[in-house]
Amino acid sequence: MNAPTIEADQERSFCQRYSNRIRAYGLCHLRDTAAAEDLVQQVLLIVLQALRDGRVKDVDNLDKYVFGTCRNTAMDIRRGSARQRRIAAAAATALPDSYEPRWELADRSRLDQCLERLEARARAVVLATFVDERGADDVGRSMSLSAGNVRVIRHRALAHLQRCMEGERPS
Amino acid sequence: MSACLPYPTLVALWAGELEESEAAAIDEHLFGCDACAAATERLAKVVGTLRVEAGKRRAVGEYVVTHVWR
Repeated sequence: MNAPTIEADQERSFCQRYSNRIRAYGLCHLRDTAAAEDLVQQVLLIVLQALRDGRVKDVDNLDKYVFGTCRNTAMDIRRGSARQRRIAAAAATALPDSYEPRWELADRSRLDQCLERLEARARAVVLATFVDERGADDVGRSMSLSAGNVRVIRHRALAHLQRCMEGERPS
Repeated sequence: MSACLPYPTLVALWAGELEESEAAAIDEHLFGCDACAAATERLAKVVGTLRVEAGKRRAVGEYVVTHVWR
C-alpha cells in the first residue's frame, strides 16, 4: 500500500508549522542567518517532495522526519556538498506560493536600548557569549567569576534582554 | 524527552555548551513540542539579532567602547 500524498492546504500548514523551527535550528547550529534561511528552504523542499511522492510512511511521526532531514541538511551545508547545491537551486521555485522566506530580526536601535538597560557585567557576559562565541569557563576567567556564575548571569541577562526587545519599552 | 525544557537549558544550547548527544535530544524535542518550539523561536530572534547587529559593531570596536567597558 502506498503512503498517503499531500494536498496544497496541507503543504501550507506544513510550511507554517516547521519554517521557524528549522530556522531556529539553523541559527543555533550554523550561526549564520543566510545559511539558516537556506536550510529552511532546503528542508521544506526535501520533505514536501517526499510527502508529494508518498515516500513518508509514518506521517504521524513527521516531527522526527523533519528533524532528521534538518540535521542531515545542516551537515551538508557545513560541508558545502554538491547535493546541497543542487537542492538549493531547486528550492526557490518548488515551494508553495504562501511560503514566506523572510524573517525579520529585531530592530537594531531597540537592541541598543535594551543592551543599555542591562548592568555592565551582564552585558559583557551576553556579548562575550553570543557575539565573541566564548565559553563560560573562558568568560569566567577573564571576569573573575566561576563558570556557574557566568551561566546564571547569562540566562538572566538574556531573559531581560528578550523581554525588553519583545515590547517592554526602555525608559 | 517529553517535559518542556527550562530556559537555562535552551540558553546553554544556544551558547554551544551542551554535549552532542544532549543537544541532539533537545533539538529533536524542539521539533515536536509547540511550547518549546515557540520559546526557542523567540530566543532565536534575540540571539540572531545580537550576532548580526552587535557582531557588525563589535567588528569595528564600537561595542567595546560603548557597551562593555564604559
